[in-house]
Amino acid sequence: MNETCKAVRIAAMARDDGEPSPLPVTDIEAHVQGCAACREAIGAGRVLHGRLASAHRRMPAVSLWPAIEQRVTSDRGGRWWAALVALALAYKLLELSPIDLGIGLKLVAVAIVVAGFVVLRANPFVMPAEI
Amino acid sequence: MDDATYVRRFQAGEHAAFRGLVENHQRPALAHALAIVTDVDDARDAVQDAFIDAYAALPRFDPTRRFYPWFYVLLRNRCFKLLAKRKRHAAVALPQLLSLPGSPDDARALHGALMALSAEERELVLLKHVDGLSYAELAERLEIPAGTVMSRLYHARSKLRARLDAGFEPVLKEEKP
Repeated sequence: MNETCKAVRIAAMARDDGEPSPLPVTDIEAHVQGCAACREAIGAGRVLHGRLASAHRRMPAVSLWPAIEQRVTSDRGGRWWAALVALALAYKLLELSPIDLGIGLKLVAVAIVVAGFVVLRANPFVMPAEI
Repeated sequence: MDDATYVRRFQAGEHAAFRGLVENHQRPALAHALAIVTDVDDARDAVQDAFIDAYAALPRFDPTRRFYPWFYVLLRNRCFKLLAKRKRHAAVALPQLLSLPGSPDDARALHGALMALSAEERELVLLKHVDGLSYAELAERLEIPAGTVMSRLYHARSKLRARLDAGFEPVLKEEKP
């Protein structure tokens, strides 16, 4: 098979697929008329195309949500807790430093507690009603 | 509810809306992954990992785009990563992959020829001929130019036909018009 045959076969495939052909139809037909190998290859390609087009994918009945939900929830929680731990460490370092940050340091502590509420999505200091 | 609504709700902070996207697409995603990795458990892992990737990337997703073609890129990345790590050979059984009309021998022949293709070739052939994607859609999903889609498809189909001709010539010959 030479380069012309290959170009013609690709162009014929594109045309059969309903796509713009890289070669004019007249060029494809002129070549195919004089080339038995291309005629056969293009014909066999159409048969294969027809067989594949009649196939259907099996769509398995699955429910992946429970596993995915567990993973995204733990990922999200994990990230927030990591951020909180980093914040708490930073606070401790600031507290140990000789620099007097005054009210600023207290604000950092308040920010950590507020962030804890956000992560837990509840006030951890509220006593349950049944106690 | 459509994907765009789920995406917008997710981006507005309602993370539970992600469930809708999973439920809308888990079945085709599993079918697509199975055609690449050819193992049910691996396909399930790849789909789950791809949804986790999507969850992380969804805040930056352009909601005017279609969700599944974007998700498919994540999915195939996961599938090919998994294939690169996997040492063992796996070949999914035909009834789990495709429903093929015709005689069982014909179906077996085509299934065998598809399994003999590389994962990339099988993916391309099935997306084109079974799912009916255009070259432009294939180019988007596979992140390659449309011209490359055309030449890769030509080579994959030639290989598939050669496999069928070599092992199962009578089947194709009988079907010629």
